[in-house]
Amino acid sequence: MKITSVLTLSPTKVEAERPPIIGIPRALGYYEYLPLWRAFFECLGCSVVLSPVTNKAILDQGVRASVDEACLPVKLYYGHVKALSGKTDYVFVPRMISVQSKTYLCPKFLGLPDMLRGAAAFDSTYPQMLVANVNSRLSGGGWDKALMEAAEELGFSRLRIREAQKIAWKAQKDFEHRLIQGEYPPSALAIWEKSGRVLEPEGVLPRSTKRRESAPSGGPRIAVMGHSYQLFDSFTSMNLLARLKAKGVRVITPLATDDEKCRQATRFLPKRLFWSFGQKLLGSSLHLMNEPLDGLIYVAAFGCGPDSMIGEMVERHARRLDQVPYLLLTIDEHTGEAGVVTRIEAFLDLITRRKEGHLLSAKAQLG
Amino acid sequence: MKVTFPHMGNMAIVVKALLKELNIEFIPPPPITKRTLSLGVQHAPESACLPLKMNIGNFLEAAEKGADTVLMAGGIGPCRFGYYNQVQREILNDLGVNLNMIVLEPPDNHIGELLKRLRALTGSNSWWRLVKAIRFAFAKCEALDDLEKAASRIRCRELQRGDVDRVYAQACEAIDQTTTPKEIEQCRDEFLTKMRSLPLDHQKRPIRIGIVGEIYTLLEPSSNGFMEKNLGRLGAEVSRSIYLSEWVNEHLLKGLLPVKGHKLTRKRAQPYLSCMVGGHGQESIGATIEYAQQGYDGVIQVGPLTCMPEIVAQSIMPNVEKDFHIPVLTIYVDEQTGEAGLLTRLEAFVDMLERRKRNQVESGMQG
Ligand code: SF4
Ligand code: SF4
Repeated sequence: MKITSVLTLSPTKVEAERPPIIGIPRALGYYEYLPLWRAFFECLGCSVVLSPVTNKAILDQGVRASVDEACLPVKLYYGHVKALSGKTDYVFVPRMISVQSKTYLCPKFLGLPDMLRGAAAFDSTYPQMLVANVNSRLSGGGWDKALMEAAEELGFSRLRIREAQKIAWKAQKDFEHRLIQGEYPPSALAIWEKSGRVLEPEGVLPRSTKRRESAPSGGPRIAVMGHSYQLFDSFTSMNLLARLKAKGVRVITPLATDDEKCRQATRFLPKRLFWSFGQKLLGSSLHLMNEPLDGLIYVAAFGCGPDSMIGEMVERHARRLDQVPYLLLTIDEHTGEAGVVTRIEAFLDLITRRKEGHLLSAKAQLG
Repeated sequence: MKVTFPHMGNMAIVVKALLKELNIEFIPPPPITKRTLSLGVQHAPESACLPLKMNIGNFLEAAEKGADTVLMAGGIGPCRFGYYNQVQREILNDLGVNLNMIVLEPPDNHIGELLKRLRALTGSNSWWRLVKAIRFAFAKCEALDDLEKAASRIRCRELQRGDVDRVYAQACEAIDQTTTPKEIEQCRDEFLTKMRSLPLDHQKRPIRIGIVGEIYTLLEPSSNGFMEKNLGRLGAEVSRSIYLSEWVNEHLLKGLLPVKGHKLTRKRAQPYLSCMVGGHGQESIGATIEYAQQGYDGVIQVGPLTCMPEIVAQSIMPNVEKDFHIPVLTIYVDEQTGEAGLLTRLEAFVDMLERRKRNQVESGMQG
């Protein structure tokens, strides 16, 4: 039996031929780590190819390639990897075990490269994959080690890799800074969706030159919670964010709450959450609920383990406060757009009525 | 303090033994019935995995009987189980049910930490007494496992349907009553002999099926539609990848006791699933390989619907099936799963395996 190992390229190849073309699937970790990945590979001289924006064909591919029980984001990942076949030398598939010390990602992230490898054993149209473990639970085992391993496999020298890492981190930090500043995540990400960013004279853009995307003031302030690949893939979220913005809603996403605030907001809980993004979701939700907030929409993936636990915690706290209307949208490949739209509209109506109600009762008290 | 705990297979007998030895008052949850499940379903998040719901049912029914403290196992990720108690606490809290929770997290380093946590429970008991109590309870656990293994092996041979289960039930009852290590041993031997001397078909060459999967659905018969019993009655000899004593030793006691663990099993899974994925994902893959190597005719993988580690394992199962020529049937259960529906699937699987075995024997004779 042959088990395709991570890589077979010999180190000398890079020198001899053109640097490899690296594919990045537009799914899962993409929405949080694209700047790091892209800047890193481009600094090494590789060209980077992204899979297309999620579309019906990718969805269908993904659904066919994975088991029925998998969550939609994982199915889409299969689809995006397949969409890159024939276009790249390697598709970068990091195994994200842990991106913060003492935390984990969900089991499916841990198993993903093996799941894909398993599928590829039956289907020769899968592209070659470049796998590296990201495990911040081990000392020195985070992204740096993973990128180092991946690039060494490609035959680059350590010196060059370290140089690329430095620039890549600058790009990533800048991106994260913008998010905390409240920049709308899709636009912060858009900069990195084009190639050649690292080559531009200013390199990484000076911080926050761009005006914060301020939605019309006065509209309801709504927190939209969910994993970033769920929120920012407009195909799976049924374009939720844009829809809300079009209605004048001021949207806040979990990425705008920094870790410290998240920690503060969850300090009273006896047990710390061990999923890093889950901690962000819970912390950010609880934090925002303590601020003036008109509503909270939780976008969950059907069958998602962390969402089932965190969504429940958030909902219970929202209900207890009795001030924050809560809407849970659970999405899978069968979810109809019309249904989602109706529910959002009903939710916005509810919020408007509440606001008017508050105004009226305030007036009544005055009068 | 009146302590209760969640059901999981024969766990109740073991915990009772421990608490009795320590002179701690306890109220075991009533046996799992339809009501238990529907209580759980009513109050737990819909998208939670089945064990969480069953636990809630157990806790509520025990609280009705006057329990005020829950003793349960915890975890540190990456799977949902580690966060169960937090969500359960919130649910009980909102219901106004006052239950204090003592969570036995698996010790990070060594057994001392577990003992320290148990201290919260044991109060004035001496260390020596605690260690003695653990050993006594564990002896019961092992005896029960031996009996269960025997029952699953010979059930398919019983000439009088129900004989084996009758004796097995008596055996559990009797083990529950034992008060000294010596008695446990005698009791076990007595009932093993009793089982073997039932009218059995010793000529039968049954097909052999291994069951692998998620721990709760493996251990708790009411959650898997009494799979082992039904497979036995359909004429299959059954073995399971994990028994209670192994789980207790590996998960709670950190492998302190000299019991066969699953290190090797996990290692066997490595070529297919190189990373631990929480729960028993790696064990499911490894154990399937082991069953194939031991000449079993088929494997059933069982887990709660949406179980993350089992979905990872399921995605990789086709590769194991192909490389080791062993058919695998994956069964997910939730609150809607009926025993009748499951039975049909088991029947079809057993039929298929029997046909396959006949064909192999025939072609073997010709060849
Ligand atoms: S966190 Fe949820 S949505 Fe994301 S991969 Fe895991 S189960 Fe799927
Ligand atoms: S292993 Fe499966 S059943 Fe257990 S907590 Fe994880 S998802 Fe739930």
